[in-house]
Amino acid sequence: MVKRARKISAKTSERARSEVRKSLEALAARDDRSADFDYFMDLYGAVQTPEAVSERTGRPVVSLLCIQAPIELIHAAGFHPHKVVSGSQAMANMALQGLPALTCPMLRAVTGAAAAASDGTPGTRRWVLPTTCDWVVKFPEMLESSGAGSIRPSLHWMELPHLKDGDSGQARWLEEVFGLKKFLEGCGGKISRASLDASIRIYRDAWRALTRLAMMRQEGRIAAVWFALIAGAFFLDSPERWTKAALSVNPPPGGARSDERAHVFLAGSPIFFPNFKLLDLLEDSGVSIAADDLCSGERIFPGGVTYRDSSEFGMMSALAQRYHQGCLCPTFIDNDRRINNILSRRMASDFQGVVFHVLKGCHPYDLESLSVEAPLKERGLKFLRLETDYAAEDSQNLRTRIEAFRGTLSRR
Amino acid sequence: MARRTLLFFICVALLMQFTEDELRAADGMDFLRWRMTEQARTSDGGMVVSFDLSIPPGANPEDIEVTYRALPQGNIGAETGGSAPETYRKKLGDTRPEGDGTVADVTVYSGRSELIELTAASRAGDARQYALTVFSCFGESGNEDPDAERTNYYPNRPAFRVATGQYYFRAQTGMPIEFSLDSGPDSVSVFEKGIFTSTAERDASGNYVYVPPHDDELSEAGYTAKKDVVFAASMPDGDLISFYVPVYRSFYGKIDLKGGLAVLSGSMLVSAALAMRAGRRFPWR
Amino acid sequence: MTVRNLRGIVQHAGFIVMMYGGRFGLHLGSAVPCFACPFVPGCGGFCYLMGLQGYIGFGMGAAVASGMGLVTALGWFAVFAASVALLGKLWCGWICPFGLIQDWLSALRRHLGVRERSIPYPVMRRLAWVKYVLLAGIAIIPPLVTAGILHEDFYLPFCGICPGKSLLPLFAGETRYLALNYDNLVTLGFSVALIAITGAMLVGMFLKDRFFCIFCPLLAFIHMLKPVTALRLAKTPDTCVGCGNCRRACPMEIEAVYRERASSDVQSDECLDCAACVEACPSDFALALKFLKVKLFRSSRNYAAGIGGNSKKNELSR
Repeated sequence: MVKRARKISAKTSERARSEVRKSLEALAARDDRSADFDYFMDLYGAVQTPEAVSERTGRPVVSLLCIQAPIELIHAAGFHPHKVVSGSQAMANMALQGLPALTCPMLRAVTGAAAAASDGTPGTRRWVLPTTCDWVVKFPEMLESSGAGSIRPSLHWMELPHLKDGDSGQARWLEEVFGLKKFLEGCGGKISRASLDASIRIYRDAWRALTRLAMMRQEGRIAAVWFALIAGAFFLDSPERWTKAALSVNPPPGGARSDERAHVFLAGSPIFFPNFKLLDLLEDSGVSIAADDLCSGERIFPGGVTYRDSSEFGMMSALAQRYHQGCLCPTFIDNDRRINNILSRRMASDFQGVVFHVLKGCHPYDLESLSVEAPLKERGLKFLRLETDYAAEDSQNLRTRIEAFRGTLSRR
Repeated sequence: MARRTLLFFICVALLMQFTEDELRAADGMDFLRWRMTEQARTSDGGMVVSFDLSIPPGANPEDIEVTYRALPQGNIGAETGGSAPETYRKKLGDTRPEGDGTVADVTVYSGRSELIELTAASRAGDARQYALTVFSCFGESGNEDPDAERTNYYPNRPAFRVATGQYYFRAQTGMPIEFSLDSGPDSVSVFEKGIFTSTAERDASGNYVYVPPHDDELSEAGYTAKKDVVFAASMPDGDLISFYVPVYRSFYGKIDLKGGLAVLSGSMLVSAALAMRAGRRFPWR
Repeated sequence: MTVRNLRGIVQHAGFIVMMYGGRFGLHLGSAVPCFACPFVPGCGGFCYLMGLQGYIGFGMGAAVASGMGLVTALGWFAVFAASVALLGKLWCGWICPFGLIQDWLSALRRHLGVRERSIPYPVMRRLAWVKYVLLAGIAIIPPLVTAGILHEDFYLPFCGICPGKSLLPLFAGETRYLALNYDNLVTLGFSVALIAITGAMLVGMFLKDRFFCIFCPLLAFIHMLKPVTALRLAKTPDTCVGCGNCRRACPMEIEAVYRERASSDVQSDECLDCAACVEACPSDFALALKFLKVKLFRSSRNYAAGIGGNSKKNELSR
C-alpha cells in the first residue's frame, strides 16, 4: 500500500517536473525572450522545497498561502516569507481523491505537492495562515486527509476581519498583526524598529521594480507571460536579489505589443506557473493585457506602505492597514471599491474590456464576477468571464470565446 | 510711641511736599516744551500725533516757528542710510492760556512708517528757546500731511542727537534715554510728569543718559499709558533747549522669565502626563 | 525632486521671509494669511489675525465708524482674501513658519521613534469648534476694549494666548513672551495663560503632527473663504480603492478624503493642502491638488512607488 503510494508520488512529481520543463522550454523558445529573464526562469527550474528556499535566501522560511500576512513583518523578524503556490495540473490531480470535486485547484495542487513530498513526518517550516477564504481555513484538514501530514504544530492563524472599512475591523486586524509579531518572536525572530524600517524599504524597492514592469507591460514592451513569470518568482528568492534582477529587465525594443492587438484588463483569480494557459490563449487570440489585479500579478504583495509615524507601533499599524484596507480580495464583505482600481488604470491605459478569470472552485471570485460585471459595462467596458481550471481540455472552447470577445473590442 | 511715629511721618510728608514745591518754584517749567496728547490712527490708515506746545510767558506765540523732519524707517528702528530727511513747516493750531503762559495745539499727520523729529523755536528776545521731540509713526496710507508745508529751512538750533534703540520704537521705563548736545552744559534738568526730579550729567563720551524709573501707575494703566519726561538744558549763550520724551511702561520692568519657565515646565509635565494616560488606551504597548 | 522635498524647501524659505524679511527690507504688509508674527523683531510681514484684532479690523474703534475706516478694513481684508484665493491653504501647509516648527517637532519625534499620539478623527471633528470660538473672540473682544469696557491690556487678545507669540520670537532672540508679566492682573493672566498653552502645545505638537493647527483660528478663517479659493484638493472617487494611505499620510489624520465616495470636493476644514495624501495615494488620478481646473499634482502609482525621482525614504510625509 505504502509502496504504491510512493510510486504514485514519484510519478506525479516527475509529471509535475515535466510540466515545469515544458513550460520553461516554451518560454525559452519565444521570440521576445531576453537574457534578462534567465534569472527568473532559473528560479522556477530550481528545487522549491522550504529547505531549498531557505538555503537560497539564507533565512528560515515562513510559509504563506496568500498575501494577507504582512511579509515585511516576517522579513523584519529574520525569516523569508515564502508564498507556497502551485499551478501544477499533475499535483492538483493527485490530491483530487481525498477532496471535494470543486476544491480550489491551487490549494489542491499545493496539497498534492505536499503529499508527494511527504515522508510521513511534519515539516520543519512554520506556517502563517490568515483566514481569507474557506479553502485556506480548511487547508490543514485538506493536508491531513490527503496524507500529507499535519502542519498544526507550527501553524499560526491570523483571524481576518472581513469588514475592512470600519474601525473595529481594523483594530482587530491590528491585534492580529501584533499577534503575528508575537508568534514570530516565539519562533526566535527579532523585530526592531530598524529591522521593520529596513524591511519596509526593501519591499518598497521591490514594489518599485514591480510597478516598473507593470508600466512596461502597459506600454506593450513586455508580454503578459513574462510579467506573470517575474511576479510569480517573487517569493522564490530574497527580495533584494529579485528586485535587482527585475529592475534590470530591459526587453529589446519593439516588444510584444502591436497596435492591432486589443487591450484588456485581466481581473479575478490568480494564475500560477506553470499553468499560463489563459495568458497564452489571450496572446494567441490577439489580446494584450494592459493591467491586472491578480494576487499573482500586480497585487503579488500590497507594496506602497506609507506612514508618518515611524515608531514601531506606527509601522505596525501602517502594515496592518495597508494589508487590510488596501486589499481587493473578494473575501471582504465591503469590497465595493474594487472596480475603482480598474477604472483608475483605465485612465492611464487604453484597454477596452475586462477579462475576469474565475478559477473553478474559487467561490469568492466566482461570486464577485457577477457583481462587478454590471458597473463595468455601465462605464463602457466590455466584459468577459472565463471560468476554467488547470486542465487543458477546455482550451478550444476558451479560445473561441476569447476570439469572439476580441471581435467586439476591435469593432469599437 | 505710635503717636510720635505718626507725627514724624506727617512731618516728613509735609517737608517733602514743601521741598517739591520749592523745586518746582526754583526750576519751574517756564520754557518752551512739547507734550504728546494723543496718538491715533486715522481712517485712511495714516497716523496723527497731537501735541501741546507750552509757550512760556513773555514769548509771543506768533513768533514761534514749528518745523519737523521725517526719516523714513524700514522696519522698527532700521536705519535708512543716506537719504536726506524731508522737512516740513507747520502752523500752530488753537491756543489757550494756561497759568501765566499759553498752550498751542500742534498735530502731525504721517502716512508712512517714519521717524519724526519735531522742533519748535521761539525767536523772542535775545535768548532763544527750542523744544524738541522725536517719535515714530507707522502710517500706511502714503498720504502727505495736508497742513504742512514742504520747506528747506530748518532752525539753526544746537546740534542734538538722540540714540534710538535698535528695535524699540518708544522709550520705556527702566531703559536709558540717551542723547547728545554739542557744547551743552554739564548737566541737564529732568522733569517727570511736570515735576523736576533729577539731573542728567554729561558722561565722558559727551552723552547725557537718563533712566526713567519704573512706575506702578503706568503698569496698572495699560500699554498705551505714558508719562511725560522733559529734559531742559541751558546753553552757555543763554539759549534754552528742551527735549520731550513720552515714556511708556517697560516691556521688561515687571517680567519674570524664571517664573515663566517654571509655568512652562509645569504645563509641559501635566500635558505629558495627560498624553501618557490617553496613550494607555491602546493595548499594544 | 519629490513634492515633499519641494514643500520642505518652500517652508524653510517661507520661514526666513516671514521671520527675518524685515531685516532685508522686505515686508509683506498686515494681512499675511499665516503666522508671520509681528512680535518677532524684524519680521517680514504681519499675521492678519493681529491686524484683524487691531488697527485694521475689530480694534479700530471709532475710526471704523467713519467711512474711510471701513474702506481701510475692507481693503486689508481684500488683500487677505486675494492671498487666500490665490494660494488657499498652501499658506498653512507650505508657508506658515509656525507650521514648520510643528513639522520640526514631528521630525524629532520620528527620529526618536516615539509613537504618535493620534487623535481619532471623530474627536478632532468635535474639537473643530474651538477655532471658530477663537475667531469669534477675535471679533468680540477688541471692540469692548476700544469702547473702554475691558482693560486696555486686553488689546490683541488672541495674540495674548497664541503660542506663536511665545515661540516664534525666540528665533529672533526675544524671550520675554515666555516670562510672567506682573504689570497688572490682566497682563499676569495673559502671560500665565500663554505660557501654559505654550507648554501644552509643545507637548501636543511633539506627540501629534500639526497639533496646533486643530485649533488655529486663521485656518478657520481661511477655510471660510473656500468658495473663492482657486486651490483645491480634489478627488476622483471612481478611482479610489480605499486603501487608506491618504488617511495615514495626512498630518491632520483627515478621514474625509478616504471616506468620500461621491463628491470631488475633499477640501475639509482641517486640510492644509500639504499634498501628503496625493503623494501617498497609489491610485492613478484618484487625488489631485488643483488650481482652478489645472491639476498641479495628481496621484499615481508610479509616484507612490518612487518612479521618477521620488526618494527612497519610507515616510511619504514629513
